[in-house]
Amino acid sequence: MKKTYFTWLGLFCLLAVADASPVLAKDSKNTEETLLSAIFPSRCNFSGHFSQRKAVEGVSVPLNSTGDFFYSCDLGLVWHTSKPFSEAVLYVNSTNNFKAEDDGTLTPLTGITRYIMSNIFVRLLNGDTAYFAEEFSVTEATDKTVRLHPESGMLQKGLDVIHISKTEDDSQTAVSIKVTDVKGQDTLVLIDHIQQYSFTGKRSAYEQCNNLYADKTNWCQVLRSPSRFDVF
Amino acid sequence: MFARLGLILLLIGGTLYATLYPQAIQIDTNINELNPEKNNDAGLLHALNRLTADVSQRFMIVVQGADKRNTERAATALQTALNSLPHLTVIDSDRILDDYLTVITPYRFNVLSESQRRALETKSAAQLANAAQRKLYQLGEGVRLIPFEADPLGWFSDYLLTMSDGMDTPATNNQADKTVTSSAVSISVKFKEYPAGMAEQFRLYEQINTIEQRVSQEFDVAVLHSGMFFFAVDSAQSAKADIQLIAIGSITGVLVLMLLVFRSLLPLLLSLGSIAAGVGFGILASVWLYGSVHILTIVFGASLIGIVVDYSLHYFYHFLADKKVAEAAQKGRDNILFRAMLLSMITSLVGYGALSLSDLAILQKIALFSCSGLFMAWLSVMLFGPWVVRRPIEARQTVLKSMIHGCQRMFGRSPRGVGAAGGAIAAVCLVYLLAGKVEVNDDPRGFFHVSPALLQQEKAVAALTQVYEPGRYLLIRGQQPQQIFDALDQLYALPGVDREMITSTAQWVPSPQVQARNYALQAKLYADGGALDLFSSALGLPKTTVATAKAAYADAAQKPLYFATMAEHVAAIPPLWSAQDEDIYSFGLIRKNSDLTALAAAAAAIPGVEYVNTLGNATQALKSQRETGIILLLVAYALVGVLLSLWYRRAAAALLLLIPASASLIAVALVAVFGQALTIFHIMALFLVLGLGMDYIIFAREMAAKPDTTHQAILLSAITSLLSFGLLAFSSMPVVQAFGSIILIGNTINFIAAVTLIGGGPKHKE
Repeated sequence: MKKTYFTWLGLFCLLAVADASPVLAKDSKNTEETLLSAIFPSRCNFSGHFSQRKAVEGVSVPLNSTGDFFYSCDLGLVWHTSKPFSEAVLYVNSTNNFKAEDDGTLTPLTGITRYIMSNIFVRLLNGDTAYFAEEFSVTEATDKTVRLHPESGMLQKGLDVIHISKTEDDSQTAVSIKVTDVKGQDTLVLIDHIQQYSFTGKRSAYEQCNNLYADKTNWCQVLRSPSRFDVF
Repeated sequence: MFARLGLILLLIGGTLYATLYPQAIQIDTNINELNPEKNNDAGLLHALNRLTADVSQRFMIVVQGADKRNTERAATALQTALNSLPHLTVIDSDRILDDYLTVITPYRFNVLSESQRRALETKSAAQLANAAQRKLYQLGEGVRLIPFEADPLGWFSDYLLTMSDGMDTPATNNQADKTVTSSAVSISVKFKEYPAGMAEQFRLYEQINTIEQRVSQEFDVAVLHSGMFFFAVDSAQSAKADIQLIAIGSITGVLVLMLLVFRSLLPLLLSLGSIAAGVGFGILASVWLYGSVHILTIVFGASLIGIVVDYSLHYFYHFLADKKVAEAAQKGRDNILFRAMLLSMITSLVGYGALSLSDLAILQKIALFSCSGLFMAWLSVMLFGPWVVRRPIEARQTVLKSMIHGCQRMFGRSPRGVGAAGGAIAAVCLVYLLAGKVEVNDDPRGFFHVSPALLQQEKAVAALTQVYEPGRYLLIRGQQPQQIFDALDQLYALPGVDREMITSTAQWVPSPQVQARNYALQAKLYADGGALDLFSSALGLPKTTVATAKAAYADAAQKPLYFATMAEHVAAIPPLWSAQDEDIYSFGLIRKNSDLTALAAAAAAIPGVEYVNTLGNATQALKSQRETGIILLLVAYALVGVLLSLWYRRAAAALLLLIPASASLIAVALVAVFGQALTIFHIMALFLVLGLGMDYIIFAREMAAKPDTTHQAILLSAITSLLSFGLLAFSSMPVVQAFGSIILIGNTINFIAAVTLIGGGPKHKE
């Protein structure tokens, strides 16, 4: 039995235990940030498709899902799974994040999903290279895959390694993210059909969101004005 | 003869006991002895003791540095070094989590989050199965905190993680963040085995300090610590220094004086023997009655040397070069000396014994130590004295005589004038004390000397880590576990009270009723044809995969988890629950920055819930003790007055009390003028001013036939007393200082009054 994402209990017990991490010199951090910059998004507004393949211990079949997403630095993230179910994660910030149904039914995000969104996924989309250089040991494998090993004790309890690779050809860019947890379970997310937008500002982002998810009730409005959708 | 033999046997027995069983003589450093709160509820006392012991068995260390990674490395190095010490163990989060999961997992069907409860009440089994299936596909979901077979729907994992909501960003006490310039890591440390003696405590304290300094220098970080252990050792170190100063000072002073005056080893041996017998018996009496000797008892008790030696001094001076008296003594017929010695001893016992009337355990212990020690010292002088005075005693009297004559020339030319002046000054002091708004202090925190550095660290650590209000808690009583939870629910429902304010048993374990309801609701998940069956068939899972969970559900019926079970297995959980006979006591720890007024008001409105403010209660009780102490002092004066009137068969004899009374008033006024806030310890010292003053007066009066030698004995006695008590006035501990300064001033006045006003002035020569 592992103690995945379970450090919160430590708060009950008024303790915090530090874990060892290698000291990286400034130069090393700069190198890490350079590596990350090469694969992280360079624009602030983009959309795309994803396919996800998950392996869960105890479930004999792989769990495959597909969908699309829209991300804006100003507005937030819509992560829409279309198959085998239609539902979305709407992430505005660490306090406003929901699971949304097509009909606009919202449920607050909890547990691991919320943690992963707050601490890894949205930061990755946001191109927060400084954060990843600080929290992870970043190295490049021979196949040009960038490997991120968590350095903080908290992340080490749940996460083993993240592999990120980027492929580019004339027509499109694809990013592959493989997350391996401490139990050896892999989640592979392949992002492609990435379309980058040159507009700026929240209003334009909201309009683009509405274009993409016109058939979904309130999703983009939740991103624009999350306080109006108090589900707590 | 039999009495002497008996005393010798007793002394030999005591010495053998102390030599053969030194471990039986434990030195107690518990500062709670200063808390006058009386608790007659054995069950509550047990619960409080467990909680206090738990708190005292832990301490916190915080590592602060500018760079996060470096700080974490420093914390790891510190953790490793602390774990290498045999007495300590750093609380290991992995171990706690394992323990917690091991305990709660069999009871997982009894717990539900609020949203899970709502879902079970409003949704069908098919909807619940569908939701569980969808969840598996979500980013990051699918991981179970226990094996998939034991929690296929993920409800238990979800419950645990929901409890962490709001804490997960950032999720640890590590305050490092890229937006701040510094980071801090806190480490909680527990004693595997609390160091038994003071020496071992000092050694561990030094080891911890050395490790902290090494890590601080190696990693360029600040290392702060906080915990009762550090305060206890710091106080004990101060006390130890005081004991050494007072004991060495007193004994050296007495030795030098005796050798200079008597130029013989025999009187010295009797004096030292009576001191050893008195102090030794005091220690053994304390150990026999209380199981240990408190550190403050030893500090105050060391000053007993100054009084104990008086008996031998008066004894020897009585026999100075007086063969007839010596012969009479050997025949046991010296009634004058016996009367004076007896009355002196009784008044001292009344003075010290009055301390036992206090509700403070520490003063009761001092009273026992002092009274038993005084009596034994007196007895040893009375029984062994005749052996010592077989040979004529001689004393060098010139210097002492000239000192006394000097004093008498200065104050004794007009005894009435001196008396009137003393009375007038005392009256002015009384008016000043009554009308001058003299500062008082009843806050027990001011009674001890605590190093400023330690206090500063305590504040810094508290700001970074401590989440509870010190010295304040809620006490919830009941006969059934459910009553405790019901009382907490009522409390939470009141205005101004938030669940976040209190850490109680309800945070770890739901009430038995709620557990039963949660279990019943989950039938929708685990019963045949329920959500689990639908979920497994939708995913194509074999039936055996879900059979484990279904069997576990059936097995968990009517088995509530009790807090005591959880606390027993998870060492990090404080003992917030205690059951004694048919009573249950539960504690609620109050988080910092809570609205204490609202909480106190809410607690007052609910039967069985009590808001306890230990510091406030202790301060109030000490104030009451101080006020009662003044009344008791007046009672002691009245008792001694009656004793004197009966002894001398004259009511006017009670006027002798004006001497210690004036000395007391002047002493209190002077310490107040010099900026000391009056405490209960100043008041208690006044009992000794009475006892010592009466000693001098009685000897001066009873031995009036030989005023010269009597005054010398009183002078020597006063010097020895002032040596020991005077040294207390320079103690680093405010309580000891208060005691010493009152006696230093009061006893000086007692001495001057005794040699100038009682038993004749310079014109009366032997």
